[in-house]
Amino acid sequence: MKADPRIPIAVGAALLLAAGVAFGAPHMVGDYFVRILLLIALNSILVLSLSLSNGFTGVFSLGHVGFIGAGAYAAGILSLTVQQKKALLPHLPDLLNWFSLPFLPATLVAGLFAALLAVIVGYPLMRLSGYFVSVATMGFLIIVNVVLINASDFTRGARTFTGVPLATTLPWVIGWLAVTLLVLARLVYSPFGRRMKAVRDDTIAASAVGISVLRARLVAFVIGAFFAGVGGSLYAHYLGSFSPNTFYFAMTMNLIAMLVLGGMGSLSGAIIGVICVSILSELLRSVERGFTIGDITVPALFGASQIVLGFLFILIMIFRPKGIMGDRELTFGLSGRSANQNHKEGKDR
Amino acid sequence: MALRDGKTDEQILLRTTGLTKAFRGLVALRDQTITLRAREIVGVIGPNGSGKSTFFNLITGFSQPNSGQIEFKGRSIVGMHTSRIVALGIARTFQGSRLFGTLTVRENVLAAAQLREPVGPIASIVRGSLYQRRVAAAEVVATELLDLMGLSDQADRLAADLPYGDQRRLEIARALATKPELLLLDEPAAGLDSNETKVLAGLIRTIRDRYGVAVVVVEHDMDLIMGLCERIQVLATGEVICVGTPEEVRNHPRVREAYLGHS
Repeated sequence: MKADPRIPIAVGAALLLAAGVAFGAPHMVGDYFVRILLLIALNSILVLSLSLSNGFTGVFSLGHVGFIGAGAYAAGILSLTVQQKKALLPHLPDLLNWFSLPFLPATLVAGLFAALLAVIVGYPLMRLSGYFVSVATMGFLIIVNVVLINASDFTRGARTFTGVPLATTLPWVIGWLAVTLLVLARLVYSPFGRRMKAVRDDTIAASAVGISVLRARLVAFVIGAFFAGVGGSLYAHYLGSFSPNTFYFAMTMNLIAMLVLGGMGSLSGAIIGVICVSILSELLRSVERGFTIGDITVPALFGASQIVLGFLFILIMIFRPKGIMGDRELTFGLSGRSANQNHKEGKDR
Repeated sequence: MALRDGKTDEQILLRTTGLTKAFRGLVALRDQTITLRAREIVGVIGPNGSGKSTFFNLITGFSQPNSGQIEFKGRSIVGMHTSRIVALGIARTFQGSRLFGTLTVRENVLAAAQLREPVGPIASIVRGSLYQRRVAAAEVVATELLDLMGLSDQADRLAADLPYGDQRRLEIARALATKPELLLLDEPAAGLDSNETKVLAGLIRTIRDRYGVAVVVVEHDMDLIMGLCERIQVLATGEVICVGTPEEVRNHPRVREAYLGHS
């Protein structure tokens, strides 16, 4: 725990840097890069929120995107204007159709809604371990999808939900990323975070030292769901229009790949995973369209980027099965000590 | 025995009566009864499959008895969840070892010390003065216990990287960090050589004297049990075959037949 101050410092440094980027980037680089930065930050929020249960608590949830979807739709419904609601969602109950919330409150409500959902879902499901909890949470994701498709009074069903104001800007996303990172860093590197990791390592030993396995898991699940809901709202306000299948298996796999690639037990790893996958898929996407170097013309190879990414995951899992960072944290040279490892004697004296 | 039983019940820390547990018809423990007083060191011995670990699992709520009573400090703990039983003051170690492998040695003890210095998720995020006090208090406990168990040098190593003997001592340190009144040690000497076993016996006595805990040791190792325990209960195929001082047990005909005869 004595290494603790370094993590907040590192987080602070990262956020300062990010703030600079957030406000500086639009003036320095083109829209394309701003968009990529925004997506990286947004996906970082989503992957960080996923890491709390899947990485730090050992509950490998496949239902996380259900919370993102719930957050996206909740925020979308709240921030449509009254006129839009009348036009797009004519059957919306009276309780919801007479007002319109600004971006920030809509996002907060979306987060709270996802958290509430997580309490209800988690209370029975967090008693399960291993594959069982993965499959059960996947069941939750499927239920959310079916509900979104069928509750057409609220969601326009399988049709595109549209008209959400495009309020998500880079500073907003960086701001939320800062909040997410700060809250999670404090939680994960605290006595409560230690309880979560103890539960991950050995549930039996954890209960034998008085840790409530259910409570540790539920807290991780609910806080993760809150930030997933927030991320969902940011996503909704970024896309403007989306459908239930935006928040389904493809997104699930994408987020899990980023998390596993970066390292499941590391906050900085989560972000590194997002950065690597995002940049690589952007690079590969331009390669995929075909290009010409001198006399050589490479024809368009659609789908090639996915294949290369797939191979990359295989290679990383073979050579670095714990991901790029494993359970170490990047501390920007403030200390050579990882969060969990120190073989140098007397370092903490 | 009769005289001591006549004293007030307050001195009785743990009492099991008629404890029976069967797994799919196979009786693991039958009609087991034991009474334990504060600061006692009691041994439970018996060959493999005689019900020793079942006994611990029942007391700590990892499994539920088919019948019988378990009273700790005068209150029934049957059906209670493990984490509540630990909070009441019973701590245990496991056969083999079950450490938190990705945590450091120090963190393993801290995770347990936090039981008496609880910090919730909100407090962990806000980090007010109460949080700081509790974290500091847990650190003090951890430092003391690591010193006692001779693990201070290894405090920042990952628990999974520790040599076996150190892992066993870390398990004990972690159990003690929950500030128990009753400490259950499941084969603490397994895998230790005779010298390490001697050191361990000394440590267990020190623990009892310093923290005033009662200790129950489940063991194969007769040397440890005979040298350490004030009373011994012998189990064979789930039944109690005798209780007494090491001397009485050693000379009991059924013990010789059921247990010592084998080894």
